[in-house]
Amino acid sequence: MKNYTEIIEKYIDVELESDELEWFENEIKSNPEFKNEVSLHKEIDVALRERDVIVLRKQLDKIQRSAIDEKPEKSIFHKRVYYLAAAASLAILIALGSLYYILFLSKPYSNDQLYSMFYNRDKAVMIVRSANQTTSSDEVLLKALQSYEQKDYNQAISLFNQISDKLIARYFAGISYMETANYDDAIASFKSIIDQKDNLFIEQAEWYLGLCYLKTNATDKAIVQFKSIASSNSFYKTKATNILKNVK
Amino acid sequence: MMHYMDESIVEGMRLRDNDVIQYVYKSHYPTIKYFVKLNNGDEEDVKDIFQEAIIIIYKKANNNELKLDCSFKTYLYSICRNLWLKELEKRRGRNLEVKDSEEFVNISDNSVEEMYEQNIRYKIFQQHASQLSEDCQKVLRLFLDKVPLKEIARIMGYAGEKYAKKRKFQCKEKLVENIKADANYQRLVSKNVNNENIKQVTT
Repeated sequence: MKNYTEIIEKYIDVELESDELEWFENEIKSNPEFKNEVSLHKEIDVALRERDVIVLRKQLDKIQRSAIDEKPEKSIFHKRVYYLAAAASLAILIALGSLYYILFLSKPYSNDQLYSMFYNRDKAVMIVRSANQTTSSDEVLLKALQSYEQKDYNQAISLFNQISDKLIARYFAGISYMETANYDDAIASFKSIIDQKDNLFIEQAEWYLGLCYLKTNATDKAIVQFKSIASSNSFYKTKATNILKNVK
Repeated sequence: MMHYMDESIVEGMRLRDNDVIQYVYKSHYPTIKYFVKLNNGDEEDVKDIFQEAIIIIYKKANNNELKLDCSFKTYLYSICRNLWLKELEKRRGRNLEVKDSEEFVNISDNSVEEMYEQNIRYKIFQQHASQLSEDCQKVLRLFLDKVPLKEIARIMGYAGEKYAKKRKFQCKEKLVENIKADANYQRLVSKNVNNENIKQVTT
């Protein structure tokens, strides 16, 4: 096909004179190859304007590499290197075993230490509803979550308490109480969630409840709690098991 | 690793939150990998299908078209399943039996397939654009952003407005040529042509 780039671009930018325009529109109708060429030129512009998707693809490539590709699933060693690696691994294992003994078996962690190791503040991602469905309690929830994200926990707590019928409010209020060292109030919040049975926050509530018991040195209650988690299908099963190994 | 609830995942993806997306990769990539490989795919196929599914979910979330009637895991699996089925159809011909490894829901709208086709076209265009010279990339970007011609000439350090226009035509032409020479693009275009021919014959 002859070089039509210039005239196509002029057409797209609405810069064609009327006689050129007439020719152009006739050509589109009568010549399918030309029509496709024009579509291609237009489509390319649309694609290049998708800045957010371009950025997202780069982000996904990066995550793919770091989270998936660079995890050594299958290491391919040459025989000599393999034996060296095996010997080194054995030596390391023995060293680690001794270290494990020193760190874990001879000196158990204090409750405070365990709490610091395992406690992670949950992230509140905004759940935005469409404008015409927002109730006043939705607005309070939004403000409360924003305060929570900004670490203004006292504000968050007072807002969450206004909508304490919502489980999500009780949940994040519980964490806010933990952040402000009000462990008894936190315990009450999480217990009220667990009492509701069968909701989205139960696993987290049970986990955090356990941590609160640890922090308030109610060690027996903490052990009971973590045993229950470790024997269930909870997401926190492994973590609970780890804590149980190290507590006393 | 932080655990995310389904609603938070959708919102996080809408905002391109890095932690959320990383969580999605770590939690669900193995499942999709198993499924694609079970159905004659390789590592590259898994990478591509997963990425395209994420892009589709991202776009749908931003268009407020995303309402989960099932778990996020099931939704993601269903989209990947849909896309892989489409790919197998393209490569091997008609309806192949797919072996499932998870529960899935019927993605009833055609928008997923249409989005997929459009996204992979755009991906080719975007890749070629990023391979143009710095000068060309910059010029095209300025014109796309509708920066005034005079400004473009000044920013690029060109002699005048006419030359800026000329560069734009040259760069766009190069881009179009490169895209047309891309084997993947040619395959896409010919598939569409074939499908249309088949439609004509059978009606």
